[in-house]
Amino acid sequence: MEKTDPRGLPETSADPADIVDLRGLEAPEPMVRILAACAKLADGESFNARLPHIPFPVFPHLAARGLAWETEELADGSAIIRIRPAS
Amino acid sequence: MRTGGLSMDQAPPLSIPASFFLTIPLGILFAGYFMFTSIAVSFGSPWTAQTLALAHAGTLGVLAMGMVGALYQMTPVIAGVPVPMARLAHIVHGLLLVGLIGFLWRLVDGPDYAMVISIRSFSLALILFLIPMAWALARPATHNETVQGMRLALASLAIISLAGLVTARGFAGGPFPDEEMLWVQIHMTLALLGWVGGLLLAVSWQVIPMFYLTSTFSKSSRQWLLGLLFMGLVLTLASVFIDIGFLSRGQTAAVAALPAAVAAWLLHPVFVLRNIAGRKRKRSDASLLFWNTGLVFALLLIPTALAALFIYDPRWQVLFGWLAIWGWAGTILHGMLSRIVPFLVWFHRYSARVGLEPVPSMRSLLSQRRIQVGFFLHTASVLSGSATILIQADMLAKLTGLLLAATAVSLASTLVHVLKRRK
Repeated sequence: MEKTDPRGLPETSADPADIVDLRGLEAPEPMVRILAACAKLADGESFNARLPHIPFPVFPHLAARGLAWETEELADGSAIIRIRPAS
Repeated sequence: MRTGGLSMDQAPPLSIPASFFLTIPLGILFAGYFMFTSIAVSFGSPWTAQTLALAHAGTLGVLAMGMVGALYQMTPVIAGVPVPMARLAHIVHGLLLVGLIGFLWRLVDGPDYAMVISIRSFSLALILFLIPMAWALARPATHNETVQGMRLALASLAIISLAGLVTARGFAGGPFPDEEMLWVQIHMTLALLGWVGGLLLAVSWQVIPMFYLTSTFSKSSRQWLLGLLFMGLVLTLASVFIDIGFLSRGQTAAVAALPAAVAAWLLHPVFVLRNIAGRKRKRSDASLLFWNTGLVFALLLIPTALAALFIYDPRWQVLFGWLAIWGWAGTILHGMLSRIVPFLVWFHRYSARVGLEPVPSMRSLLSQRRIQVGFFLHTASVLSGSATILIQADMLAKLTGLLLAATAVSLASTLVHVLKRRK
């Protein structure tokens, strides 16, 4: 069974306090929020979000903007993405 | 933890799905032509040339065009893996079109060589489509139920193509296969429940929560539906070796498909309609009209199929096919186009600029009014076609033909309107 913290987020390698939950948004709003947030990322900062599934379509845009990302697929099919400027 | 590593060229260019989608109105126009120019009694049996042409204008001209185009787009997006040699899609599209025209021409008194051309075109198109797609879906970056449903659809397509091509030889001067009815039943069952049903269910699990903000479908419900679908298809194939004395071979194959029919035409519509009704944020969206209506048509399919199997009146068989192809799958496909095409245009033309400069919203690309017009024309044509089949009045056939033509024009206008948006 999936472990969850008191705020309802499954245990992941990202700090739950830093995860923006984008699951309740209509497509393409999650992508808009991710790209808008990432446009303001400074070196050393990261943006973490939880989505209903792995956001494959956003990856090329992140790459084109010089960003690095990691994803983690959770047991319920949702996914955590952590984005930071590529070093 | 996984590290992403996709590059821009992994997503197919918009021209690939768009070329398939833009051909769909042509398939609807063909269907309208057959309805308008035929006497209504032609649609009183599933084996007349007019009914076969109408059915295949729907399956090959409308559904296959939409589904093949969608698979090229969906596979990288959902399975996270690019389709190798995706540019072949343009050749596949051309071959499908030639195959469709040859097929329909032969059925309306064309020469045998029209079907020969059709068989060769479809065979090559399927090879060029199935091999790269199977290669991609064998190596997905994620193994969720949507990917499994896509695999099931693809495997079903391979089998129905074989059964269809073997049967089509009979229209190309060759022999019809022994046990022709059994081949046809397997062709129909796997086409509707495996190819169409597999993909439709799989896609719905992704797009319904994504576009309409419903709760997600539980993993167990997805697994159950896939399991039932798979079981029904395997039983249908196994029925080739079963002889039940009081049922014909075709009836046995149809009965064997019951678990799959229950999954696609009872449980899935109930689950999706329940999720849609339970939305927390009930934002108005005309494309939902298509989903709701298509799923209600799905609920009519099992009773209609049972009537078709056990009542000695071939009109029920035609009605079943009409409701399945144009009522259930066609309605949902039309609605999906109204939602997916604006999304694709937004994604390909504007998403790269998000966060860097103002971009139009996806909803601003297509008015709800246009979608509503398409919906009313489509639904009216389903109802009018059903009446044509049951009542067999020529005036109704002509009306249905006109409604289909109007639906085609409306859809073509909508697609062109969205696809030509550049600013």
